[in-house]
Amino acid sequence: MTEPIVQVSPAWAVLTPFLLMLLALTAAGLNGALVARTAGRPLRSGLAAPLGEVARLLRQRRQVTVAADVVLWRIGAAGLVVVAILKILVIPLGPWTLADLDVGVVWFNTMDVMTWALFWLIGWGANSAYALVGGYRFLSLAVSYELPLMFALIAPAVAARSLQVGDVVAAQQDLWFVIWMPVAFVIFCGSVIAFSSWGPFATGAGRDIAGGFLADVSGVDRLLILAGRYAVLTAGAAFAVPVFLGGGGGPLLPEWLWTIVKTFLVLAVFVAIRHRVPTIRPDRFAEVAWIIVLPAALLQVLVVAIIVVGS
Amino acid sequence: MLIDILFWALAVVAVASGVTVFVVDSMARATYALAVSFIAVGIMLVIVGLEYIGIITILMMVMEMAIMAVYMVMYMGMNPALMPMDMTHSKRWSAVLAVGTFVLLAAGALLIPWPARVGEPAADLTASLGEAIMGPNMLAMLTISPVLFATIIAGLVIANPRGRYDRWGDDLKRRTPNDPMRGGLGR
Amino acid sequence: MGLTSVLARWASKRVHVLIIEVPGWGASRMLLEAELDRRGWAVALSPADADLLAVCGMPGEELRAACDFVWNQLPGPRARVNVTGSGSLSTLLNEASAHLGDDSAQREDARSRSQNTVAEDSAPDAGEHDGMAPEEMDHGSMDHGMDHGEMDMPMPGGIPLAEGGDDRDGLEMDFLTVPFGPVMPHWPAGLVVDCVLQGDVVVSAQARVLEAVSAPTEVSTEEMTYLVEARLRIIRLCDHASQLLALAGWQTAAQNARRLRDDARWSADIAEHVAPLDRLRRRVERSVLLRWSLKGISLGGISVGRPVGGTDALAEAGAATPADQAGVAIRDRLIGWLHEAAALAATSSDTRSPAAGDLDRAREARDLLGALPALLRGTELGTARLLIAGLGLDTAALAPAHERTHD
Repeated sequence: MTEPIVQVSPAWAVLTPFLLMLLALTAAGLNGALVARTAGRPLRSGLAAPLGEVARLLRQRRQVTVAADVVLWRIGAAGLVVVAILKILVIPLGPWTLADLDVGVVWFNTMDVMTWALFWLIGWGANSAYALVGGYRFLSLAVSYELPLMFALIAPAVAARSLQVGDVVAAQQDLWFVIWMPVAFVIFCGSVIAFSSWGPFATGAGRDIAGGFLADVSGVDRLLILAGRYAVLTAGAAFAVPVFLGGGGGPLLPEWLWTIVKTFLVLAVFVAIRHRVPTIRPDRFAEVAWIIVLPAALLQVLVVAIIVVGS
Repeated sequence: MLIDILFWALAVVAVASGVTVFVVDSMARATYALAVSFIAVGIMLVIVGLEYIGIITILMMVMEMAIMAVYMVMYMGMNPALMPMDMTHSKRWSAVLAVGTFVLLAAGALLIPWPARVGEPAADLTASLGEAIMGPNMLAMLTISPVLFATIIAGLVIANPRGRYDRWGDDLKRRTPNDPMRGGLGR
Repeated sequence: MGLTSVLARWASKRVHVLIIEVPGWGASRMLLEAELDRRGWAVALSPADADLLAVCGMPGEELRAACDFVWNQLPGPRARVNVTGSGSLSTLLNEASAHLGDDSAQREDARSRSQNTVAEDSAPDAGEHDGMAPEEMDHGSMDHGMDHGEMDMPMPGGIPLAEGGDDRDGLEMDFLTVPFGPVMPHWPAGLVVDCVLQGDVVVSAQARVLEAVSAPTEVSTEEMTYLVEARLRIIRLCDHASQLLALAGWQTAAQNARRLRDDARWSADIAEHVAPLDRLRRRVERSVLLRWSLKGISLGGISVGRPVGGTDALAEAGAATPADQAGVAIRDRLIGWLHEAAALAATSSDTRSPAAGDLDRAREARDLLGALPALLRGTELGTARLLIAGLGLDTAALAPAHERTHD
């Protein structure tokens, strides 16, 4: 079956950001293709859209606003990509991982909590009404999804009796976790979409507030924020693979290829959801999250705990 | 050696950003300087070997700082974020108190004859630390946290100026609650 | 250098266009949007997002000042076009794209801009104009505040701090004047709603419409021969539906409605649009998330006129929600628009007489505009946007008839 996770030398850390951004680029291409299809153009013309966007943003100058909090603004803009790279340190590519921390699952959760700070800083730094509203909208959504996410991450950790990602993969030898913890998987996927401020949870960057926290950023900052969004989405999709989808397990292909294939499939679903589902309003979502989703997550953890103690 | 340098560097960062909280002019910057201080402390805990506690400290503190930034901006009245401000009160007495506490603790850390290490550190530091602190009172500790949570919720409910009768009418028979903003489930 | 030219070439495939529509020039805007869809260019949401500023129509004085203000906020490289219908849209956009790729011209533009801001900084009260929140165009009130002599008030960046007051929960919050300007995505043309916000709740609002210099006349003569009243109404209904759907966050359905709108303009037989319109309407009706998002948002008490063929939907809506304010719910309005568009496409022959004249339309628009302040009071920002879109305001009808042709 799957080989045990082995930690490779840190020199490989130089290549991991490239792999991450390559996957993020394919996600952006897929998004562009779907946008092209809704507009009535052929799919192929949309696939190259991210390259055009990158070129455009590299040529664009920076927007300057009055009394902007520049330090915080730049930290927020640059932080998203950094957070995504830190996240994938614990994600194994097949049998290899850069840092098999004892608390890998919690590390992932910590890194995605950084987005709370980062999106708010982006909204705050611009000193603009719409940007601030966008930042606050993200925070109100974050308060709703965070506890369900934490409990959804506890479920596989309880089943594997460890917080180490390697152990979680090893515990899925017989049966992938997605099969007997579907509620946790769905909550996890929803939370990944939410902390990337993507798709149905993208009210912070909504069109009704002229782009929200994206309203006043241009040039390199905008590129970092948009790339960071895709990178965080990709990192979240990649984390779903070892924790719920059995890591590199599967017939025929080598493990690292399976990891990439599974990551891409999950990522494709995330990107497609944006085009199928309208945006969710944070004030409406709060009640649903606390009254329906959180008890569901708790019940899921209870069920897992009973099964684990019983076996 | 490298670990020592890292530890001291993080200690300097933690204290410096703590001082920055009171020096900067902007509430948002003060909040996030505090976050940086906590992150430095969390990394120091990881270095000491308490990985779980260190990373959880970082997680909890960044989340708290994000929420605190919201409250700071909301409650700081006329001067939310952009003007020079002075957050310190009774400067002389608080300086005396702070320096005195520091001297006391430092003297304790340096002058107490700590016992020499016997044996080796446990394999799972977090578990052994937990058992050493909570030990035979583990069950009491486990029940305290949901009780604390329930107390917080009860306090919020009691403090809310709008009660059931404001929302549902005097006979509690209104079909939809009378809220300024409609909730997601219409409860 | 090779790399710069490669970047310029790639960038020219994805130009972001900020569209400013002058009241009465909706047709130009729709043609521009269709052309952008065809090229794969995007509509910008804010000046910071835009490379190209496209003014659709001939703006009056205030609107032109707003256009210049927004033009100042475009970060380089930037270009500006005026879409008035004379001259081919395609060549206009190609020229603009070439101008964007012309690095020496853009550098010259950047240099002259930095010289301008240096000159402005020497004047103390002009500094606040550099790149403020993009949609704020009216600084008259702020200049007056500065001249009041309260020079000891703290003023970061030259902008006076906001005053506080009690909000609806009894807390004290600052009042912020934010004009929902004439330049916003999915916004009625030329409308300015001066709002006072506490947090993101609208406390008070004043609405007005900026004028055009003239309405399109000879521009549409070739099109007028086969575009009759029913078709125009279908186009307008699809446009309104598309704006509302985009604001509700459903980009795909909004794009769908936009394509139906463009198809209705150019197709010979509008009866073939009944099926796609019905499909879109059913899709919108079926969406549970949209119903949940829009629940409880209604144009309380405003008479928005009875749409043709939508009365049963309205009656059902009225009966089903007695606890809500009596008024049309936004979702029902949206479905009613799509229903009416499909009904018009199905029943119309091409020689249908106009149902409502210009005077009726102007009166209706004036009524809606007058009802706007009361409607927006106490609503949250996103809800306010949905309500304004749900009104289906036709700002063209409000403009005085300068050189209008009669249908």
